[in-house]
Amino acid sequence: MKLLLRLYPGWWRRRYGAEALDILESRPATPSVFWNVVIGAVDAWLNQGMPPNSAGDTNERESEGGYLMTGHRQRNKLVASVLARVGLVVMVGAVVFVESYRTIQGHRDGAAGPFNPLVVSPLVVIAIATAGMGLGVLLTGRRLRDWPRWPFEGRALRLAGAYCLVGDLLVVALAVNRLDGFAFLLYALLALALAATTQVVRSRRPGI
Amino acid sequence: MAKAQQPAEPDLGRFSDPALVVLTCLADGPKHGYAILQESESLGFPLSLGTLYGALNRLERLRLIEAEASVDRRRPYRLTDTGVGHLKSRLASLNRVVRYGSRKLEGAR
Repeated sequence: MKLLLRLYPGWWRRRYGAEALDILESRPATPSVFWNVVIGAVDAWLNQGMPPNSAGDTNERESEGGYLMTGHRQRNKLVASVLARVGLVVMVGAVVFVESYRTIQGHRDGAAGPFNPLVVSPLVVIAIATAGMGLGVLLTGRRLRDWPRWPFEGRALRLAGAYCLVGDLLVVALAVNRLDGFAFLLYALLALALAATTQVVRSRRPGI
Repeated sequence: MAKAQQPAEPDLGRFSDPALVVLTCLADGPKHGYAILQESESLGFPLSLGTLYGALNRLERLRLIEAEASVDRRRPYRLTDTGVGHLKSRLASLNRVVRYGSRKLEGAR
């Protein structure tokens, strides 16, 4: 049960952990309790935050600091958003790559089939789109006033933007040369870089 | 002509019902999480652990309740004045719905 509570953010465990553990240990551990605790942890990471000052835990809150709390919540949301985007992009990419693979490698007889423009074209569209977004990240990132905010963030963003710009060309090249495994791996990394960079830039300047 | 400004009701989203249960449990004095959980069960609206602390957290951030100092690893919560007002307003509106619905049911028979 104590391990289960490790799913919650640190501030949550300090604030509610001891009492929550008491409650968990006093009740039978059923799948629904387990599920509820997991869902509660997701909610705590995404939607909850340290409550304002009141009697009882002044020192704890002062040591955490309001700015840090806000920062934690922003970072958690950012990570969740990036993961959701990566999942989506990878799923779409998987379909595109499977179809591309079938077209390039031939459907059933193992012989190399002709390129089907209708099937391969989504790959090209994604390549162009990611290249464009990579370029956008590079350009908008340079204009942000308080950027970089984290150590090495500026360099990481530039690298990710550049990778978005050229990485998809490598993906297409690998796919065309029948190295689909490498192409898909690269594509997944590309999705991660793209999702992270666009999200970081958006979080710095809402509305982009 | 500008509309009269009304005090905005706190947005508790899908935690609105659990929050009402928590506020109701705290109406007669401070209680800790475990006591709220037990009272919600006897009330017929059992709260699960995740829901209870989600509601407590939201209510606390909206300053409808506040925490007291921990006693033996348990932290009691009490209603604030705003919380009392909010609870009264929620109960009054629920009462209106109950009376209106009951009248309609009576009329339909």
